[in-house]
Amino acid sequence: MKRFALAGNPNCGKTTLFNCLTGSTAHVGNWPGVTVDKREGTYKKCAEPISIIDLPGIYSLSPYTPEEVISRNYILDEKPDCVINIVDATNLERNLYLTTQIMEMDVPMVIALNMMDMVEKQGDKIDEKELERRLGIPVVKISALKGTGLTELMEKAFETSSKERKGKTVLEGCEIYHLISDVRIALDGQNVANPLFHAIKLVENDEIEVQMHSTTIKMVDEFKQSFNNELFGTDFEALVADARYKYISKNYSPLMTKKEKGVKLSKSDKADKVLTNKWAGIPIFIVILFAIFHLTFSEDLFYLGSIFSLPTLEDLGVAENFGTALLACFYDGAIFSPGVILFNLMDLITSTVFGWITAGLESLGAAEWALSLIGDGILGGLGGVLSFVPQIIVLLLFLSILEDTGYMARVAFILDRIFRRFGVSGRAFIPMIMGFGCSIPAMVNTRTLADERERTLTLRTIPFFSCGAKLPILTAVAGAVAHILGAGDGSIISFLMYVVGMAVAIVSIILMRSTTQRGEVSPFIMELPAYHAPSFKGLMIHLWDKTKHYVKKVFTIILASTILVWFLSNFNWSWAMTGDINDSILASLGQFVQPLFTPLGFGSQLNAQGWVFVVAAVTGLIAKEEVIATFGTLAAIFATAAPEIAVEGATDVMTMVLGTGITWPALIAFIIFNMTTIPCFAAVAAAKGETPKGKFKWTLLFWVATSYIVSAISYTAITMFASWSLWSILATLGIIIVSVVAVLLIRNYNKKHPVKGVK
Amino acid sequence: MQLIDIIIAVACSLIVLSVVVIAIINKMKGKTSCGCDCANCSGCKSCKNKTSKQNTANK
Amino acid sequence: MKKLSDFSIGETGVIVKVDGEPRIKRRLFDMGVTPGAEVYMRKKAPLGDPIEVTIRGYELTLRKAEAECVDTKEIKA
Repeated sequence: MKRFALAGNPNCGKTTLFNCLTGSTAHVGNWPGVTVDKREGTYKKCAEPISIIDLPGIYSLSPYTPEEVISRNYILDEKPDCVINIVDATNLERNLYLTTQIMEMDVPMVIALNMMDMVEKQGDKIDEKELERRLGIPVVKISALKGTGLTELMEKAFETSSKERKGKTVLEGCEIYHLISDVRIALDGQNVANPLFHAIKLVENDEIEVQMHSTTIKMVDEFKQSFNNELFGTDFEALVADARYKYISKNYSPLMTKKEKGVKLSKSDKADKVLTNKWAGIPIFIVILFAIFHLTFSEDLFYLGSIFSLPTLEDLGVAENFGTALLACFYDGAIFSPGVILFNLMDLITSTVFGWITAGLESLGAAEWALSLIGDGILGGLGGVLSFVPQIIVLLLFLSILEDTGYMARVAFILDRIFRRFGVSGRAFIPMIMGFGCSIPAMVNTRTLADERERTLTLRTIPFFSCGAKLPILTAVAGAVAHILGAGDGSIISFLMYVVGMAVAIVSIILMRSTTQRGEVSPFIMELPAYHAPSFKGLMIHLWDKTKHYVKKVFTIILASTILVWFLSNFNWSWAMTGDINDSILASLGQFVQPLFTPLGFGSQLNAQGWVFVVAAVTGLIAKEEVIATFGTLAAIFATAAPEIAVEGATDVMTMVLGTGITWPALIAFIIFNMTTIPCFAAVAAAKGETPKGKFKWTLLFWVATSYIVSAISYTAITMFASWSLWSILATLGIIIVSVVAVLLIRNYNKKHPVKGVK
Repeated sequence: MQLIDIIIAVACSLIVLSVVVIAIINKMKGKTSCGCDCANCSGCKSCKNKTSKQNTANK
Repeated sequence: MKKLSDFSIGETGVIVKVDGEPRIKRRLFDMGVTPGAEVYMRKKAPLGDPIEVTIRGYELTLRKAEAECVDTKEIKA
């Protein structure tokens, strides 16, 4: 099957084009660097099916970043049948810079002039026929967004792929051209493929090339001795870059005629003025974040319930039937936020359906154990998790909107100065926010950070930005804490937990930057793409994908685990079923590890059933939703075994609280532990893939140590504070002072012994 | 034991077995159990690319 | 001659020379910050750093320290 590669700048619409051509639904974010790996698909509308590879967005083929190396090596080594170079017509000059480099390779090429819809809207014109003539490469106008020109593009590419092409360069008028020519002849003699490309890169002193062609480099060095240019000296790289742009400005830019010269304020610009305003920028961002949070978690939308002391359904004296149960999903003393409404609705649906299932099985005469397996085990476990899925999707919806509009890059722009104080670039903000959705793409996105140490330390903090799967833990346990404390709305506690996660991230960054990951902050030279309204269709497709993904996860891994947990908690080591849960296999396993967690509040200090917390945390390694699923199963078993703890309408977590005697500070410590510890196996694999060889064990150790220490401190601190003694306040102050002094001492040491700049 | 009990027991064992077996197979092939819808994961690295990545020098 | 980092908002200049640490220089070149290009100072972040410029038809952001590597001559204020 023929293979066509899509190459182009970040944000040129490559991924949109890829989606259109292959029909798959890749996520289109709007800040540079989202597509950090190649994706493959098939185009079926040509004479024969064609494999399409979406290369990472790159600005040039120099070996500066991993994306560039990936793209470059793909074209050189894998020899695609055609390279489709996507050029953003609204940004012609910079896009053509890459074009001039790709054309130096011996590979068939076609240029897709994208975003023509924008060009026409602005009233500008491009003479693409002349461009084609001057470049010597076919140019096809397209609009990936509108879907126009795609068939012509693919037909042209197909046609071009069967003709061989030799590399050409725009540097022929350049003073070092005869050096390039000589090197090329030498490489040709050595039978090197793509001699022109390698020759030019060699002359630029490209690191990869120097390693590959150590003999030929001597020729280049000799020439350099005798050469001197007033502006660039012997900096051939600069000379070449300059020559390329000069050529582009002279020969290609005039082919585009703009309707209005000068700086015009577009809609995007107007929005930008407000959102990145010098004074309002940061506050607006904080408000937006809070709004997202509020719409997802709040049990009192806009605080109307508290402000107006709205009556609860009980106060109103409504009868209890299905109709009112439905109403109660939306309102009960307060209007619920969309996230909570969906949660309530889902909960209502699952409990009703589950009720039918258990009733049905009973009437079929199923045995006691079978009813327990289905009712307590499966339905208990799944019920805990399923209700959260809509709420997670709501959160993801908001995050996707943020990503797709291009706002993220602007926020990175605003925050860069502050981030730099902590030792990371503003760019690190992007993977961090992505982490609130799912850790895995966030970890992959850290590749956009150029400094290796900065990448590692950002990677390590990503789990602290609690992913969607941790949402059930936060909400369920925070709700229980609120209940114990008599406070109404658990969402404040959830909010605080997210904040704690971020605080731990900041502290870890400062610590790592001062000790093991010292180095320089990555450069911040970054494109700020125009804002655009996210496509409704794109959003819905993305959300639908995510929903499918979560539901699949629930009905496979989590389902299997609930069965296992049920089994292990109902059978003892003699493989006999036991009525006493503390006699089971799971209990003994749990009790074995339990004492380790005493400093965290859920260890030996709990009663005989206390092992459940440790077990739940461990199941979190498979998937973070497991923690709540395990609670669901075990709570159901508890309730069946000891009906006195099954308070009417109590949540699973509350049942656990009553059954184990755990205190609320320990519950908070439990949340913190789960938030900061080793993420799910899939995330671990992703992190390992992004870490240099041999260094990953430190990352694992870091997660274990951080979660243990931070939760232990939280438990102890909160317990002490809860008792408000002078001693506890003094002790905490003492610890803070000691830590601050330690940090200052380390920083002082670092200033006196600066680390040499690492590339 | 009633028929329904047998059905339940068999179904559950099958579920557990198949999930575990499929997970192991995926691990051997090099896929991680993200649910790996590479399409929407925007850069889920360890998919089909994994084996070719281990061959070509990275960085 | 004026360094890009010293521009005020609304100023335009033409780049004359780009000098600095190799990795920064390379990055600037790749992004089109080369001699001959016209650059317009669009905006500064809160606290004055980083800055946003319009160059070769698109928006680029860079830190003050990176902008110091760029020498320009003004064409209009």
